[in-house]
Amino acid sequence: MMRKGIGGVWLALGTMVLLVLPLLVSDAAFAAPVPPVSGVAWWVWVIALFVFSFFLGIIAVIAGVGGGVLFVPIVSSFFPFHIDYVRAAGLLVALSGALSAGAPLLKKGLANLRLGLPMALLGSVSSIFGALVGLALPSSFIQLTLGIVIIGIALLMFMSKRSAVPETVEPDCFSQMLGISGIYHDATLRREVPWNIHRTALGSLLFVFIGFLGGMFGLGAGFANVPVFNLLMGVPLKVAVGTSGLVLSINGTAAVWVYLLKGAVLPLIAIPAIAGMMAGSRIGAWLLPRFHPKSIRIVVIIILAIAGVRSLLKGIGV
Amino acid sequence: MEKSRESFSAEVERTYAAVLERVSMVGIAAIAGAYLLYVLHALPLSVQVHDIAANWHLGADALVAKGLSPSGWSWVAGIGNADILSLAAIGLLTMTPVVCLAAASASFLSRKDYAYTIIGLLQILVLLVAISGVLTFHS
Repeated sequence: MMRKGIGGVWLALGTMVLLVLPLLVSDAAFAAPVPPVSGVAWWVWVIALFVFSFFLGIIAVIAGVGGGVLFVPIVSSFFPFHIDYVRAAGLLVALSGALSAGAPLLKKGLANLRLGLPMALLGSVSSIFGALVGLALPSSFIQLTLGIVIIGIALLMFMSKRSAVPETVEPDCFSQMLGISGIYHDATLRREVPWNIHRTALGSLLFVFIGFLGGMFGLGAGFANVPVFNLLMGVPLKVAVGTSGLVLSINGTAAVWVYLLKGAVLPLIAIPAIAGMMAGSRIGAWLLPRFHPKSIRIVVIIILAIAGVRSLLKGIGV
Repeated sequence: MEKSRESFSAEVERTYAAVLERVSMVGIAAIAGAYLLYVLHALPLSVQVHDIAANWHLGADALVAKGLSPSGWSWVAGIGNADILSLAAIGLLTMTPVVCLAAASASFLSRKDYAYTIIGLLQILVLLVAISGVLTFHS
């Protein structure tokens, strides 16, 4: 555990050096005129984005939320980047986080392909359309509706009760037809936990809607995937969280290509965000046992609410 | 609950996980390498960093119109530039699920799980449609 943490610290320091190193290189670009919009040198924003993403990675892991849901409203509200690039970076942040965590979760049986693939298939189609609609709408409208959605997510997180291991449910005809069920070893409970799902049709419909929202706003959508799996369909919380990552890695891929082909992926913004988030996630995983997730969760809800209000105000030009 | 189905599923998941681990590592390494070339100016740039920074408050359409950001697959022509190489590396990372799904679909097929083979192949098709840009430029 300790070695992992030290590795994470080294990773973070190494990445920071990597990003700061160019600043020591004498180049005309670094002495370039400051962009008129922000009044701050461009590289300051790039470094700030990395540092912000790094801390976000720590908080996201401890609070059990995806990075995208925090990244997009905060960066679009407080950084000078247009929301198009922030949404694309948000999707990439969520996607890279899910890809990093995916393999161990699959090996432990906490990410289930039989459960995830049908939902991802529906969600990925709608996420493409969500991205297309999002890029076609005026940015002020996107900023405004993003604010509303984020405030809604904060409320949802505040009110939702999670069920670690829901009561055993009676599988419906769809889940029986597709053979969606599973068994995983719960280290906390020290036993094998079998599970089935129900309300598959309604859950699938909701995944279409979640995919659309995720594509439109550049959110990973784990905030919505998990409650649908867990509270609606009866999936144990650990499997819901793991499978949510699998779903958003597929949905994120579908949506991010719309952004990439529309010229909305700027490596200058996206890569520091990805690097910061991944380094922070490693530290977050190490710190996780030392923190009380509930207290962090409250902090995240407050941050979300502030970011939502800020985004809403920015959308109406305040 | 059929024990055989559980073990089949676990095998497919292990296959997916093994591919995911390797391919995503390649993607992350590619991003790190390409970005290093980008920030150290080890390769020429198609667009100067300060030009991007001076315009990043504008939307993607405006940046494309100014010729500061590539649209569609036009960026492939500039692959020798560090900024475009970084973009290609990001693209490579996002291809990870496609490769994983191909491995999973083959695994489902070998176990005669036709429903999931079809779901897997349909999912690959959806992702390839997104990657091709067919919907992006004809919607």
